[in-house]
Amino acid sequence: MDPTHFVHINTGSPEPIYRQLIEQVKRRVAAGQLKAGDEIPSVRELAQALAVHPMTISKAYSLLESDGVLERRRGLSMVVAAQHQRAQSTADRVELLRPTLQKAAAEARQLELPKAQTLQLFKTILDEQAP
Amino acid sequence: MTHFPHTDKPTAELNGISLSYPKGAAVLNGLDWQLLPGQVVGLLGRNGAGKTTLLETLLGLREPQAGTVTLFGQDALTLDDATRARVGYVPQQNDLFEAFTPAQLLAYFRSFYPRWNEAKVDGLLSRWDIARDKPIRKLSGGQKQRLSIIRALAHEPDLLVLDEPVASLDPAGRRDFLRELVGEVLDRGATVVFSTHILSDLERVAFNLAFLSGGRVALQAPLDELLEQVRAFTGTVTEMATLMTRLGAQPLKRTALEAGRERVLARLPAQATVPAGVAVDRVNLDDLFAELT
Amino acid sequence: MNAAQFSQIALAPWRQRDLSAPWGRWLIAALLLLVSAGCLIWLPPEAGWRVPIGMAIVIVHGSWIALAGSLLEQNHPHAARCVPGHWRALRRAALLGWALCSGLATLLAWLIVPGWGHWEILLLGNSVVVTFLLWTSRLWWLWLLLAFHSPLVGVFAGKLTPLWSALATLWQANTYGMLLLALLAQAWLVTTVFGDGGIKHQARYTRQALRRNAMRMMSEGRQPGAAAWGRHAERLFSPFVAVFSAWQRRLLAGADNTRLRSVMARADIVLHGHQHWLNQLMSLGTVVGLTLISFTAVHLVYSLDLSNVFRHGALGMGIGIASAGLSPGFALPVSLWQSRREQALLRLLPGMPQGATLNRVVATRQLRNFGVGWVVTLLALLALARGTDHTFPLYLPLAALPLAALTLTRRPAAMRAPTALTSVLPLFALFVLAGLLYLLVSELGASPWWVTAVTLALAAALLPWRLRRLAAAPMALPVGRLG
Repeated sequence: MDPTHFVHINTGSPEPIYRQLIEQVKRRVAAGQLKAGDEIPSVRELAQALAVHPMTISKAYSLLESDGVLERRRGLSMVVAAQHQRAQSTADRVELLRPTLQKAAAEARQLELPKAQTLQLFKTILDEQAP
Repeated sequence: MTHFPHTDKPTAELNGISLSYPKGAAVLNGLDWQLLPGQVVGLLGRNGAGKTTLLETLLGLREPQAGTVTLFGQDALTLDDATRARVGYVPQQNDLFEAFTPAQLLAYFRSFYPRWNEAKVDGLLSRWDIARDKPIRKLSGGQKQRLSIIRALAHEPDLLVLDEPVASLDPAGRRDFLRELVGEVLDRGATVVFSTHILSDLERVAFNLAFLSGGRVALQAPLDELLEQVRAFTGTVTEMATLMTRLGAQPLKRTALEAGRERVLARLPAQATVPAGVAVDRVNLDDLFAELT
Repeated sequence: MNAAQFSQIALAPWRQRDLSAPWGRWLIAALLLLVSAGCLIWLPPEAGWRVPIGMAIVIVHGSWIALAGSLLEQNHPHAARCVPGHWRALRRAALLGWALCSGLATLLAWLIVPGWGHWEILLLGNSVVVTFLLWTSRLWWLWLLLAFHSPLVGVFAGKLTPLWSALATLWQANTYGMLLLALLAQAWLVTTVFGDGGIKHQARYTRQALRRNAMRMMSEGRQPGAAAWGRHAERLFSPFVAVFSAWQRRLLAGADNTRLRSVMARADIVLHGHQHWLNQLMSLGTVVGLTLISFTAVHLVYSLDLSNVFRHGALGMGIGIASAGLSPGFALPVSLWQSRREQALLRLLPGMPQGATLNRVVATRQLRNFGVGWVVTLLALLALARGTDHTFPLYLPLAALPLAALTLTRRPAAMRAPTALTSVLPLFALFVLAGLLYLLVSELGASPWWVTAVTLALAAALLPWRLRRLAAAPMALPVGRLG
């Protein structure tokens, strides 16, 4: 696994780098690009490849481990945890959309929009993007 | 495995530093600052805010009119040999030692230091394509800056102080330099302080940020926390006041807008949630720089 | 070209004068006034008013030199190419300036020359001088040509004499015609001195800018390296650079951080840079060598009686030897200013002394370097004084002692940026003090031994007091941070 292209860092965004790492790894695991037992780059490799502080990487990895996405093996590099044998079920994947939807809901609240119209907009957008 | 730098004795400590130039203007005004071992701190400040002066004071190259500076537990003005061997400095001007060639410069510095990583020096000189026997005044600006960096890293310092070390480097060069810094941190847990205007570099490599404003370190905090906890609120003055108390937020900067409204940059406590109907924005490092320096 | 444009161009050298160092200009102006007043008072009337007018002619030509240099500096290739009308305006300004200077100088010269006639030849002479001065700003080797014109004329006498006599007869025959021709030719020369922004002009301008920079550095008291004078100078001085590198390698090979001498010897390389004692020794040695060679050559070719030369030229030679031997010592504090940014890095090197030790060591090394130069100068002057009765040069090393005790023990941390005046001041003070001592002995009849004893006592009293004061001062390096 080429550490340089493992994740993509966006500087200048309000989201801290460790959070971007966590979200990207979770998305790739959910979509099946990373399967159980796949080795991921070590903290050192990733830190050097991306020129990011190793503490940031290690913070992200620890949080992923406590979320059950990654698991630590003694003496070897971390791997994707065993329960992710196949792509997650729809219910689990929908949960991944929660943060983005929460942001959208917060904005809708700020704009004081009625619930029905907000949901209508979301349906329209999904219909537009459907293949 | 520790996630955060272990809080031993501080690497560097500045207490109540006041410094003004001979012509009168006060540059540093009752400044307090602390560097803990293993921290990578980005020093942010506007042009002319006194970043260079602060870094020089840190290293004992300038005497403050008031206050004390301690480096590795010693007074910065009279460091002993062992301590000086643990400090590396990359000054802002990179056209120093123009009469030397890179080989001569590195040999010169090598003769003073007890520890010198010749293999790393050779590796960096070849990787960064710096001619060893060409006088330094004939090198390009980027090569001079790279040579300055090599000179500071060669004796494996525990404290690296860098004053705009990448101003002359292209983006690839900057990425390379950041990788070297990351290596230093990984290999030896070096403490790094660096001042730069290139915020994207800081975001990658600096774990802590220090904002220099008004002659003091206005704020020092981990970057992740700042990005997660700081928000920009807009509203009338009274609304803001009640909001701050309700959320238990710490206002960092107030900007008055027209008609009794203001914009407040505030740091929320860890688990606070913002109520509905409040005009709030998240901030990025650019915004933090613009508001806090 | 209108008056505004012309005044901008012509007044540029005045506007760009160094405002932070007006003393030099005031001094020169005061001296000129004094000399004019003195001449008017003390000289007989026919000569009395001629001397100030002669000085005025020199001032006119001097201002023209300044203006010519400034015009050539304004002739930047980018401006010549891209600023509309700039090149043309410069040429016109030069032409106007040439005409004014020649006219004014001719008028003044006509007033001086007895007989009130021959203004044509005066005009020809002055305009040639003005054109020559303009062209020397662009081709510096014209001065060399002028210096060596007599041997060259001697060599080419065969071809030049008939040409000269032909020109002389033409002049006699048709003075006004020849004058007009000469003036037109010179006007053409004046306008062609400016480049038009092409490749050759750009190369020329870069070389000139390099030289200008080096001269500016010298006027501020900083010593430019050989490379500052251009590629050819660099190649010429490369043996010196090689010797210096060899010395540096030897020092590094024997590096011992526990011995202060080894540390300071290595630090000296950076602290004094081009004024390092080895560099000074090499340049002085070259000068002495060249002088000896030229003396020997002249002696062999013309079989001069050298003892005669020494007897008559002893005063000048003595002053020259004293300046050459003593000024490097006085230039050391100023050279510390040049390396002040490197000193920040030196302070962070393990092994470097700190605090009062550093102050003491920096001062004593400078005094020691000065002392070595002083001893050699004294020996040379004593040898020179054996055959002559000019004793003035001997007072120079004597006066240098108290001055060295003062100038080499100043507090480096409070140093200010050197200007043209401050770098020349020690030597100036040296000559003034030596002159005073000499006058004491020769005019006022004091005993030379007594004068010597007093000066030595003064130096011996100053030195420990200054060194004590220095030990209590803020740390020496980096210099100038409290100035």
